[in-house]
Amino acid sequence: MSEYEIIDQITVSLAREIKDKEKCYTGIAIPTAVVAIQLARMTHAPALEFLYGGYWINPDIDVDLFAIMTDLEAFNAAYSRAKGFSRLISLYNYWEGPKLTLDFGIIRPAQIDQWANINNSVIGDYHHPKVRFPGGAAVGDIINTCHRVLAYLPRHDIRTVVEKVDFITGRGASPQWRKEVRLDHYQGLVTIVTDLCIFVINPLSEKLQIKSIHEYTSTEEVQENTGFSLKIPKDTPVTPPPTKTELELLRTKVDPLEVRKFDSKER
Amino acid sequence: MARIGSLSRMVAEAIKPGMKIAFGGGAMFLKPMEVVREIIRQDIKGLHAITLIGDLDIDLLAGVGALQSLHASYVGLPMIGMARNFRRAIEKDHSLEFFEWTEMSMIRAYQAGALCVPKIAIRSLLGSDLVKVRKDFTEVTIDNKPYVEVPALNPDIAIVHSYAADNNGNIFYPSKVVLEDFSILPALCSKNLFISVEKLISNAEGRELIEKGHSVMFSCLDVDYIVKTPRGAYPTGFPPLYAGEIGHIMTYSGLSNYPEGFQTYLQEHVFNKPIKEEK
Repeated sequence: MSEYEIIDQITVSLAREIKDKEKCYTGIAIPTAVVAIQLARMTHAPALEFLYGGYWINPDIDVDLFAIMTDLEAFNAAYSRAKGFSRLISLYNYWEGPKLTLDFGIIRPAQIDQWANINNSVIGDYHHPKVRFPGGAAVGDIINTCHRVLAYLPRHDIRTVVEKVDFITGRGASPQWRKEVRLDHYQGLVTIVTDLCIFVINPLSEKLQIKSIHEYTSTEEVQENTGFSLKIPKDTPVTPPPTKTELELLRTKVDPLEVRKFDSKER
Repeated sequence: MARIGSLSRMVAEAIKPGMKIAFGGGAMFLKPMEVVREIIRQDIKGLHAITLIGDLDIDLLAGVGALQSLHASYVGLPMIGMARNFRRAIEKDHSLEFFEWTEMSMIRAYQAGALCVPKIAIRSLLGSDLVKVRKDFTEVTIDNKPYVEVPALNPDIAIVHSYAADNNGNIFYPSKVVLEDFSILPALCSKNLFISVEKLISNAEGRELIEKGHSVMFSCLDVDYIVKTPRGAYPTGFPPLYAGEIGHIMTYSGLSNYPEGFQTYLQEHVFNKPIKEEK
């Protein structure tokens, strides 16, 4: 564990889900998603088309997300080197309009349940909530308008991975439901990377299923931190840890300022 | 007809209790912050705020109890933390009615408002519990496909920050950055338009700006009220003119954790330091 940090595992696992030449979207304020996309562009997906925040198209690999919001020089430098800039209204037409072309989006749920439903709205009664989350922004839209959706959860515990969410901000995978409402050209959520494991969707049960467990944890720890029974097989694979190359790129090129660590601090 | 006046007079004339007000700008940029601060200084209450992404603007208004209701898809301080006043108003005080949208549905509702159609049907909301809790969202079937119908948004007034206004009231925007959609969409569906600008310029200077590549964001026919507020988006950013002041927002995030801290912030940044008015 001394060689890398948990957020590095999440980042590389997300990056490895990305294929070359795809067109993708992610919003601001979810730094690990952006760092993962930039890492993928530097490694196996150089021809990715990345629409960041509905505005930047292929921003510099090493652009510091915080800086482009807060530092004019960084903004101008990033501005002069980006591939292009999208109008906001074009972004919404990629989502639901004549140009339905986004291959994937990345989201960060506040809470997820065994059916992969996403809750970014409230804990407790909707109208008198115990906790009012900021709101899903585009999470509910992305899940229904990209060909597939990846998610990451910086802290996997019984409050974030639950049996049933109090509120469905966006409906998860639900292949049968997608067929019924004729949204089956979009798969919904397909992969969820947490700080303990990687989940995929079992096509038959439509529930979360463990694909692999990160090397620094155990099946017991994953189960203890999950709000429902997972039935983890003994021969569940270990997630390949970050490689030397990935770590070096993250540290020296993609995210030397460690913006991704904002994700481990939050909450 | 566009009228140019002082911040205090224009706000007093244009903004009334009970109004539905759309705020332009996006996450930490181009928020009409100086106008928001003037609304607080004038103690205007009972407002119905509408904004795609709410951050400091909405949290300040929620903190002073100015908001009766709010339409938004997200309210927070992106990458920095929660909007504490917004949360307190909903979790503890139950004083704020929150109409939650997804980004897509809200954009389409703005567009429907601009087209003067009462509703618009979209598909990205399918499967969301928002359809259950929002009594004004309805599931419908069109051509054998399910849709969710959402009501158009038609605010009484939109408040938008921009770069410059000429004598006639045309509004100029540096076209290098195409972030203005966040402000144009709410403006087009609103009955009135209130613009704050960095500077007032002559008609000749306006023509020169166009030569230099600025765009006309709104014409003199679109705009109703114009005020000059230098650095009026501060502490949110207005690239390429000035960046957001992250330190300020972090300070705010810390202070607003508790109501007492929020009062300290208000005294220092809203009541004691009004921006000098030059016209």
